[in-house]
Amino acid sequence: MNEIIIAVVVLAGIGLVAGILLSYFSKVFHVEQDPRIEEINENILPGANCGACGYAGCIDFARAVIEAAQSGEKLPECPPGGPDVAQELASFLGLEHEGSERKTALVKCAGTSDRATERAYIRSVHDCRTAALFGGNKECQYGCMGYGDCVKACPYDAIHIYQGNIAIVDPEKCTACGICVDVCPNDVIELVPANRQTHVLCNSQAPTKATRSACSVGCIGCKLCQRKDKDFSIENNLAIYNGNKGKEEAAYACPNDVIVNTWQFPVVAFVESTTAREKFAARKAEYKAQEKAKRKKAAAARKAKKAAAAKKKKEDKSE
Amino acid sequence: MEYLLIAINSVFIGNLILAKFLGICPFLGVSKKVSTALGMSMAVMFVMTLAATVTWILFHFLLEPLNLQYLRTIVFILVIASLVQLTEMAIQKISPALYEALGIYLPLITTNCAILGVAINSIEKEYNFLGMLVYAFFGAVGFGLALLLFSGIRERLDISSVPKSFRGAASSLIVAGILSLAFMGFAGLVPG
Repeated sequence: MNEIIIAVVVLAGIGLVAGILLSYFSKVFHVEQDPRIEEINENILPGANCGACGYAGCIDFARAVIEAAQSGEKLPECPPGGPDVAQELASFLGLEHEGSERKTALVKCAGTSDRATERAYIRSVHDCRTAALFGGNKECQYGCMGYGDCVKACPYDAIHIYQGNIAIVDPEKCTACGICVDVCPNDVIELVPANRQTHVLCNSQAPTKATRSACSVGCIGCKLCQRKDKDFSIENNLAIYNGNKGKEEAAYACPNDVIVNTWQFPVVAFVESTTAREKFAARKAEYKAQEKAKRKKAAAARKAKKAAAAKKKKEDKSE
Repeated sequence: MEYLLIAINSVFIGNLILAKFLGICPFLGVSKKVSTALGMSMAVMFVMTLAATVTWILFHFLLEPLNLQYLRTIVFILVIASLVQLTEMAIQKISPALYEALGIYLPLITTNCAILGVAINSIEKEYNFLGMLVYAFFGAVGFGLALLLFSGIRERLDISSVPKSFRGAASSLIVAGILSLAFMGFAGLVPG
């Protein structure tokens, strides 16, 4: 009998001590956090902790939402919740709901087999992820390998492999579900705003020299586009476009024709069709000629001005 | 030398997952990607060492004097569960960076049988304090090793063409079995 009592007392004691310690330390180690985080997590979000938003669980997402609201940035999106959750979040935080931006996937590569250097012909491999284990089929480690894992993965039939082994997304069919982005081993597919009309069709973060030897249409990070249009930025030897519609000059300034303006040529034509490339080259040459003429004229004007100034000086002296 | 033997023993010969079949749930559950497997093994390493230390002290300084050795399982569960909660809170306050890295895995480990197994085993094997520390830490290393190996295999398995009926869990279990068989080969490594 005694033994039982001791056992019960000891166990209850340990439980009590643990409980007291826990409740005490939950006060000591209490981390101040916005009460709205808890509320968003419990009342608004689906609570499935699926991770589709890119955060580790709903509570993390809620934290990111509060942070974004405080710094005035765009709220992160909850893909399973869709527009309903976005609407609710915005009204909960007292923000204007702009309607989540429609996006579309973009394969950032124009390195067809005639433009990109082949590194190896990998026989008996029929998918990108396996090929990636062997270092890929191209010299460029960042581009599209063209085995079409994304084509197989796409539930909407929105990606196809075109001539020259390049995958291209059909923006009409794409729902921006992001499955292709996950599947691609080279991370060459990106979700971009659907209304963006200017794209940098390269994903190469390799140094200039390596990119140049690997592909004739690779971005070498020369920053010439940035000089013409401030919406371009260069990160890791790669130009990134952040605006909606870029200036034509930027596309013409690019030495390797990496930038495409979709109101001139659709992405498909720019990647695949040689006639579109020829047209683009003609326009580029025209633009360059115009620029040259302008520069010549400006130089001549400057020269004339200088001469006039010198003449005036001479006259002043002789007087 | 004695501790080296304990270390080798707990990493290879008595590998928690592949020889003792403890902690199979995380072994199958969080081994889809190498990165998550790494996070999980780090968290296990942390909690396992801590839990074994605390339970060892508790056993030898509370349960043994009171002659209550038979209560160890229930007491250990109680202690480990509250301990993990406590460390989670402490980490969140003290080191947010570590919390980010281990955060999601910590609550998962609370009820992990590998942790309880190590705590009980180190008592059963009558290790001294240092021996218990080595046993627990390298037990976790072995756990991590098995998890990493398995997740690496599974990453490759995902992209290979497996017959339809074997896809997913079926081939994973077969692989786990083969891996375990391979580890059985270590059985004669250390005499005794």
